[in-house]
Formats: sequence, C-alpha cells, structure tokens
Amino acid sequence: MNPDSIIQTEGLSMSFGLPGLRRTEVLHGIDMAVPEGAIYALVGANGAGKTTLIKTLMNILQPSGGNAQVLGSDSRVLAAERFCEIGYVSENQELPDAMTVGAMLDYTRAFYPQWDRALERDLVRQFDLPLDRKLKHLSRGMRMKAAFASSMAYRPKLMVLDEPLAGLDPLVRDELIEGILERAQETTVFISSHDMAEIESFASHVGFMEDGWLVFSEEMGTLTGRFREITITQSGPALLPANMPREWLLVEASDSVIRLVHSAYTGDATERDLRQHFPTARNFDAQPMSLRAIFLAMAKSRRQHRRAQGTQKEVGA
Amino acid sequence: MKQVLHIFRKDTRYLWPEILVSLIALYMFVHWSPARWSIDRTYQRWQSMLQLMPLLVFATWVLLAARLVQAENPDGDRQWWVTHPYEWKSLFAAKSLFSLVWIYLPFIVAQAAVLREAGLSPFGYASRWAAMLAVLSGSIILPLLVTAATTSNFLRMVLIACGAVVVYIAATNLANMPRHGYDAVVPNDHHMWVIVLLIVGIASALVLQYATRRTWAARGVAIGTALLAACLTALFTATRDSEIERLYAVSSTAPVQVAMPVKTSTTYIPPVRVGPSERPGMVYVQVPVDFSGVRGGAAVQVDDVKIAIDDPKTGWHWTAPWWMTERLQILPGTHRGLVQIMLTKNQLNHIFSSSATMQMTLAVTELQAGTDATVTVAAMQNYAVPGFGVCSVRTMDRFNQLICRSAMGQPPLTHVSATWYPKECSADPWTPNAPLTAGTWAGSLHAASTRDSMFIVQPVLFNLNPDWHDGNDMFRTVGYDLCPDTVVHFTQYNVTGRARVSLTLPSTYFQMNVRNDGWKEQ
Repeated sequence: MNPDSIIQTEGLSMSFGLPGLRRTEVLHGIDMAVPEGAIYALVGANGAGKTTLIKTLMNILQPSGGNAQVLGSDSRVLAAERFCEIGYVSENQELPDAMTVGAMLDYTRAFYPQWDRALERDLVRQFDLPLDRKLKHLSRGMRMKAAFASSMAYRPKLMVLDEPLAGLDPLVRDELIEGILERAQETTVFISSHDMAEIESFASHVGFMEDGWLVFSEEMGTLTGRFREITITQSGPALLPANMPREWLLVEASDSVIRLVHSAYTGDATERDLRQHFPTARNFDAQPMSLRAIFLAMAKSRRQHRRAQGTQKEVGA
Repeated sequence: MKQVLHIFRKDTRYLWPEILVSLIALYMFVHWSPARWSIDRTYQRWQSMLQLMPLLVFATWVLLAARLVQAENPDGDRQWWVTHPYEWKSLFAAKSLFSLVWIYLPFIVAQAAVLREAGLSPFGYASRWAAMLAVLSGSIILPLLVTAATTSNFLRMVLIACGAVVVYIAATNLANMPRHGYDAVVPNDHHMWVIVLLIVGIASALVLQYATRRTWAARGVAIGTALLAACLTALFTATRDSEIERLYAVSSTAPVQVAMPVKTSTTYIPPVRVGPSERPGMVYVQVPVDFSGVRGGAAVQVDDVKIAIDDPKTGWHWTAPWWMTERLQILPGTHRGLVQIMLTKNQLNHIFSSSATMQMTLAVTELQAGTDATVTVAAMQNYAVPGFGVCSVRTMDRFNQLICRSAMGQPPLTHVSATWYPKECSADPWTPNAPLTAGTWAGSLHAASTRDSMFIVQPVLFNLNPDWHDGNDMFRTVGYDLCPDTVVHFTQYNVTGRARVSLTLPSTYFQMNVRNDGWKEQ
C-alpha cells in the first residue's frame, strides 16, 4: 500500500447474486490509487461499474474479493470516525426530505466536531440556498447544492462525488464545480462522471472503467500526453502492416490516408517507429486528443476487440 | 449518549404527527375501555367501537414503526445516513429509546389509566405486567420494527406484514388439522417459550441489521425465528395428547366418580342432544353425566375429554384426540353435568345404528378450597375482592346482577356464592318466598395465560343466578334478587392433583335418550 494514497484498492471485486446461482461479477480485480490532494475523475459509460466501486469504497456495499483502503482504513470497517473526514454526495442519494435546508444543516452539524460555521454560511451564500425550504420542495440542482454544502462545511479530507453533475443545468454545474475547486486545495476529490468535457477542465487524475474493469488510471497530463490522433498520408495506396502494435487503436485506411489513435505517443520516437511501419509515408500528423475523444477511442477500440474475439470464437467453433 | 439524544430529538420533532395519531388512538382506547365492564348503560353503545380500538392502536403503531425505522433505513444503498458519522449502536439505541418513550410508555400509562378507571390498582401485578409486555414485544413491536428495518419502504413493509399474518393463520390451521380444529388444554402453557424465542430471535435480527446492514442475513434470522416458533407451536399442539396423558395419570383413587344418569320415578334425565356444529361435516353431542364422590372442601374441574368408539360386531374402532370441554366444576354431592363432544356424522351413525360402545375419558383436576373473601352488596358500588378483582352491582330489568372485572387476565378459579331473596327483597305471591343459596364458578385455573393478558382489564364472565327447577323441565331465575346487605362469598380453589376417569356408554343409551337439535341423518 502506498502511504500517500488516500484511496487504494488491490484486486477489488464485487459480485451480486448467490454463489453458483446466476452470480454477476460487476467489478473485476480493480487496482487503483488516488494520491492525496488529487482531483481524481472516474469516467466510464453508464453501467461501467463506477457507482458500485464508489459504494464499495464507502462501505455501502461489501466487496466479494480483494481489499480497499480509504484514509488508511479497510473499507469494510469504515465507520463513524472515518466518515467525519469524508464528504459523500451522490446523484441518487435519499436525502432527509422532511427537513428544511436549515434543519438539515443544524442536524448534520452535531455529527462533526470540526464543523466550520463560517464556511457553512459562505456555502449557503455561494449556493444561494433557501434555508427555510424543505428538501422535498427543492429542484434537483438545489438539492445537490444543499448536499454539497452539508458535505463541505466540515472540511473533509476526502470528497467522494458520485455523478454529482448529471442532469443539472449549466449554471448549477458551474456553481458546483466552482465550489469543488475552491476547496480542492484542502481536500482530495474523487468524482465519477460520464461528462468528459467538464471533468477534463479540472481533474488532475483520471481512471477509465468499462464493464467492471479499470482500463487505466493515471495523471491527466500523462494520459492526454500519450494519446494522439495520427494521420499518415502515403504516396501510394494505404497498406496496413500485418502485425500492428497494441498501442494503435481504431486503425482505418482509405485511399492513401491511414488514421489511427496512438495510445503510447512519445513524440519523435513514436514518429520514427511509424516511419518504419509506413516507409512510403509522405506526411505524419499527430493531433492532441480531448478526454472525450480518448474515452470514445478506448470504448470503440475495446468494442472492436471484443467483436473480433467473438468472431474468432465462432470460427473456432 | 449525545448522539442518541440528538437522533431521538430529531425523530420526535419530525414524527410528531404519527406520535399524535398513536396517542389519540390510545386515548380512545382508554376512553372506551369502561364499556368492557361498566354498569353505566351509556357505555354499552361503545362496545362495537371498543372492538376496533386494538386494531386502530395497532395500525398507528405500524405507521409509527415504519416512519421511525425508515427515517434512517438500514436496508438499501442510497440512504443519506450510511455515509455520515452515525454509530450504529447510537442509532439503534435512539430508535429503541423512541420506541420506549412513544410506544411502550404511552401504552403502559394507558393501561394503568384503564386499571384505575376500573377500580383496580396499577401496582401489584408484576408477573402479569411482565407477561403482557413480553407478548407485546414478541408478537407486535419487535416484528414490526424488524419488518421495517428489512424492507425498503412502507408499502413493502405492509405487504410483508400482511403475508406473515396469512402464513401464520394457515400454519395454525394446518397444525390443528389432526384435531379437527378443536384444541386441548394442558396445564403447562408453553406459549411463553414461543414468546421468549420470538423476542430473542427477532431482537437478534434487528441488532444484526443495524450492526452489519446485511439485510438478507437479518431477514434469514427473522424468518428462521418465525419458522422455529411456528414449528414449536405445532410441536406443542402435536404433543398435547401425550402431555395430557402424562400429567393426568390413571388413578385407583379417583377424585370423582362418573356414571350414566339413571332415571327413577322422581329424577329427570336430560336427553342426549345432537345438533349441527359450525365445523363442516361434524355434529356436537351433549352427553349428560352424573358426578359424585368429591370429598368435602374439595372440587373437581373437567379439563379435556377423549372418546373411543368400539363396534365389536364390525370390528370398527375410532379414537379421538383429547378435546377441550366446556369447563365443568364439580362440588361435593351428586351433580349432573353435560359433556360436549364432536363427532362426524358417520361416527354418530355407528353409535345409533349398531351395538357400539363409547368410552369417555375425562381429564380432571382436583382442587382444594383456599382463601375465602366476602363482600356485602349495596347498590351501585364497587367492591374490591382481594385476589379476585373488583365487582359492582348492576340493575337489569329491575333485578340486581353482580358484574366483576380483573386485571390482566382472568382471576384464579373462584367459587362465588350468595343467598338470594324474593323479588325486590320482599315476599311476592308469584314466586317462592324462601331465600335460596346458589353459587357459580368464575375465573380460570390458567389465569395468567399470556393470550388473555393483552386486554388489561378482563370482564369476569359468570352467571350468578339462583336457578330453580319449576317441575316443568324449565330452569327459572325470575323472582329472586341480590338484595342490599346480601353477603357474597368468593372462595378460591387451588390445584392439588390431576387424574383420568372413564365411563363406558352403550349405544342403547344414545338410542333411547337422543334429542335432535336440527341434525339430519344423511
């Protein structure tokens, strides 16, 4: 275990159903480390396993294998003492709807010895929260803001946010992101989302989940640095090499142009390597990719890979 | 403790409408309770309302338990509280404290108020209070709380509670099938063991759910406990016959002799009455039997009856399980009583149409007179009868009646006797004018039965009338009254032993004496 990690998992797996009876594995041996001070974005399509992973980390669900450490404690025994240092907000969380915003803050305050009343007032002002309105009478955006305020006012060491921006209007999104960033200096943020554009603007680390697998987990700079959209223009017809490296994704050839996504781009070295594969190339163009483009490239590539595997199995059979 | 009180205060603040509704229901229960015993006629109109009160109180508790537990529901993975610094022990303690303060305490206060209203002291029934609270916990409050804690919402909770009631009724009927739906009474009531099991098992499931939030494990423990309780109940029912035969030994010195009534020129024999039973395919048969030989100062109670029919011609034989009888208590002297049994029409036909004999075995409890208390009647007053309850005189149709009530179950078995005087306490030309001493039995040997103790004040049902025979096959009570200054004796009887006594009745006895009360031979 890395002592600098706020969250660390080793071979974390999770399955639903009774053993031997239609057991569905939803997390497959997740190895992940979230360093202290990071804004870690967990991305992936709906159903990829992001929420299950977060619920397992928060001891809402019990893992069926492996282990997870959160703030140095085993997630399976995560209890009151640790939750004083964790702020958790989820899009589908059931809030105490019968309470007004003010009553919820009053009630929650008593659970946190380090609760900061001044910060609470700032957050209420910043999010423009109506203290005398019941939570059940608030819009979705306002409910999320109230949940944020109640989870930030005690200056948690770790903020765990499960799809907090989903379905919110742009103004509320901006307010919430602003709120997160203002406190990012003093807290580690672990946020799940499938909205790449927003995540890219502030995340320092990113993990990509698909079908219960953590495909990669790394710093945002490293990730965007190693992915490039490569366009190769050949002098003759575009011919693809027989054995293509694994780092090449979504390789397409049309007329004299070959397009691919390079997932291990290192600048000149990569260009030299490409020239060896395409000796008749007239031009190489390497364009940086957005997080959204990387995510789509990874997802499409893995889908192609699975289809190819399926075809091979069918042929074999 | 700080967190416990914090959660408790929050629950009390947000559940005040539910609390208020349950308190109103309890208030109505207290307000209408005197209808169970009062001599005030205005209360009689409330009898039907009173029947609904326990149901209403129960319904408000269902709502309160659901809202209380599901405010921080341990079931599910979307709850706000599970990612906040709640100590499960504090949460559990807060919910328990709420139950104590807003369910148990108002219930105890309400019951104490009912006792006071009835003229009974709320203190001094420690074992009965304990039994009542155990029944309340094991069969109502804890099952409600565990159902709420293992279901995600109120609707599911209500559906599961309804399902559990249906399963319970089906299981009880199934367990009673070998007895054709008729129960037997055993002196050792094992019901309390089932209640203890329910309390321990369901409380464990509740603690497990709060400690681990493993809903299926908690459901497993709760369902397992309920199944075990059902199996135990079925086992107790199935082994009642052997239990009765173990407890009521065949003795050479029977405490009472039983014999067929013999008609003489001066004695009247009531007929064997046969009539349709409420059970499909069954008929009841009331057999007159003469009892004698009870020693002075003693009495005998007939608890259960078992019959065996033998037809030596056809070799047909049938033995019934032990059945509970209408309680018959026999004092010294010769007394005639009616023993009621149940038969199928086929079995009855055997008795009537063949040379079959019926052996009737009675399980009897031998009793010895114990403490004696007396009260002197004065109109419209309450009388505290030590060890029995409180009695009042009620005037019905110009005649005085004695009505009594006791705390939490029936009083101990007591013989109540009084001397009656002619109508309106004066000589009347239409009725005999000599005083008449008559008595009756009240209370039960199983006074502390847990099943009876849920209603805090029990009306003690007895019919203290100076029945006299007018020589025309009619018992009459008209013309006699409980006058002011009449002394009523309450004599408690204690168990001294148990035995079995038998009587063989030939078919000719039935064929000669039968009186058909509507039964038609198929």
